Amino acid sequence: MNRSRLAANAVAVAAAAVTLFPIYWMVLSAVKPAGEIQSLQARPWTLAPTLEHFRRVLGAENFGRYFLNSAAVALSVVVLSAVVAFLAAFAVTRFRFRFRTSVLIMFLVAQMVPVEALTIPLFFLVRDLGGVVPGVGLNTLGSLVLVHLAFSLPFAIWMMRGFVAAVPEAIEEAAMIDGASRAVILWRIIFPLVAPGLVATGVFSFITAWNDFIFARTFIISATHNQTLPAALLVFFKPDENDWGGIMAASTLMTVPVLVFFIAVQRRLVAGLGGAVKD
Amino acid sequence: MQQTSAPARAVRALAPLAWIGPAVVLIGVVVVWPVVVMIQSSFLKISRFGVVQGANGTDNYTKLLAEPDFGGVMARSLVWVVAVVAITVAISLGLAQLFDQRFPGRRVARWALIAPWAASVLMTAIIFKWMLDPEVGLINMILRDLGLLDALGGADADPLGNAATAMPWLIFVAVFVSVPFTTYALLAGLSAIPADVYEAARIDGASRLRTYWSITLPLLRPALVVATLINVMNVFNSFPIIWAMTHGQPGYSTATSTIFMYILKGSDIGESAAMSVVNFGMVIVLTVIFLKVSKWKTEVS
Repeated sequence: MNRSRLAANAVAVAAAAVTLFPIYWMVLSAVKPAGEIQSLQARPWTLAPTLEHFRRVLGAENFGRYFLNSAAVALSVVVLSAVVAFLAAFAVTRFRFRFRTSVLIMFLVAQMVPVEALTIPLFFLVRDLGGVVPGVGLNTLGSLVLVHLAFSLPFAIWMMRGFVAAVPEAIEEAAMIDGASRAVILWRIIFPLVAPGLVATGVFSFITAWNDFIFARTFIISATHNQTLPAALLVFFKPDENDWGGIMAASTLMTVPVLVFFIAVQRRLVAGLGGAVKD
Repeated sequence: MQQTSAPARAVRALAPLAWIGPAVVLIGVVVVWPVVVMIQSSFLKISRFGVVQGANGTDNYTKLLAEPDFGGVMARSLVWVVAVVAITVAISLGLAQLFDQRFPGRRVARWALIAPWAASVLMTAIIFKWMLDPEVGLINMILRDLGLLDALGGADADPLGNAATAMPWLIFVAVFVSVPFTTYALLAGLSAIPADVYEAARIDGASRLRTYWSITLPLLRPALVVATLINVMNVFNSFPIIWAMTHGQPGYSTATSTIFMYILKGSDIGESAAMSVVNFGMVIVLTVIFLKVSKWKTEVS
């Protein structure tokens, strides 16, 4: 017993070391003086930590703006995706309607589309939509919200399905008999019960939107004030010599908030994934 | 007993629409419509600058199939998806089992496991590429200090520049970024297994291996199927890892179907669209085969 416990600990520590290493190296390189980064004798520590790279990144044009843009896009996607996916998941689990199977298959197939293959049609779609609906055209943050929202939905609905299905219909019926309206039932009874699922889907849609390069580069072509964080990062990649200190400092600023958020909801994540894998 | 008027029935028939409508419209317009355009353009002749020059019949497909690298690319995509998913699932099964036990370091280890998931896949790939750099790569320096590498800067110090070593490194990075989600999905599956079945097995005197094989694995199957399925789709369509680390080079030796599609976009948009359609078809076929093999349907009903 004791020995197996020791072995479990050892393996867990080893696994943790491997998974954390790239992040550790990123943060370390962000605080290493420039000379040490280029050194041919790389050390896994530094005796002269510096904030020069962070100063350079934060002093670079518009980094704060890009950060806020990314946050606005990602949070909008999280909220909208949760609402739309919840409604859709409720419909496919509680109603029997024509085309229900077709709709489910469409959700599954939509999950299999490689986004890189769609950048050209999406570019034209967003351009044309911009003419009809203001705020979602090229160079707008709305276009990023729209596209990320749509691509996050199939998985979100799939995850939510398990949660909605797990809510006993008897509860809703009892509330209905007590005279509660549909909206009240939905908001006061079902919503709290499916909350862990919403956390998990929220985490997923957040990281894809937050870390996205491809859509940001496709749609935000000339409006630099509407760029997102990944664009700020690209500034430090140079054809002759990459500014690794800058890249790593920018990546650290980009990764740490997500990591903290992730760890904060870690417990709910396991519960949340439960809905997706139950079926 | 229940009497409903025609309008009421119509309202009831339309009710699901209000719930599912937003999702269907969004996915229809933003995902399905571009797919339709992609399929259409695979039958069009398109100039390098994106000007449509008319119908092209199936010429794009004929040209694609005649590409000398096409067979290799497709075979490599299959190897890529099977290797990455199989290794990911095997490691995740072990880790999930481990993290389901109670031991002092569990919480911290679980936190650490989240890290590669929260980080951007592209950044992870860039960091690994940097660590494998022939001149200044950390991994090469460690190998040199261990005496496994003669000197920095040479061909030996460039694992990504060599077809035989580049692919294993790419697979390693793909596994690295896929393990966290998979392990968490399996952990969720494990936590759904009631403790009393284990208790019963223990009383029956079943060995640990026996218990795992006959109780844990079958009960874990729904979680395993879903986690594997999501991995198959993601890995097959994965683009940033290979693109950031090798661009599919040397030659086309590390190019999978998505990379090949992207490369073709630079020379012939119609042919690239044809490659996208082939890619899409492959994912669907793989998914169907997987669902058949895993008897997903029977699991659900």
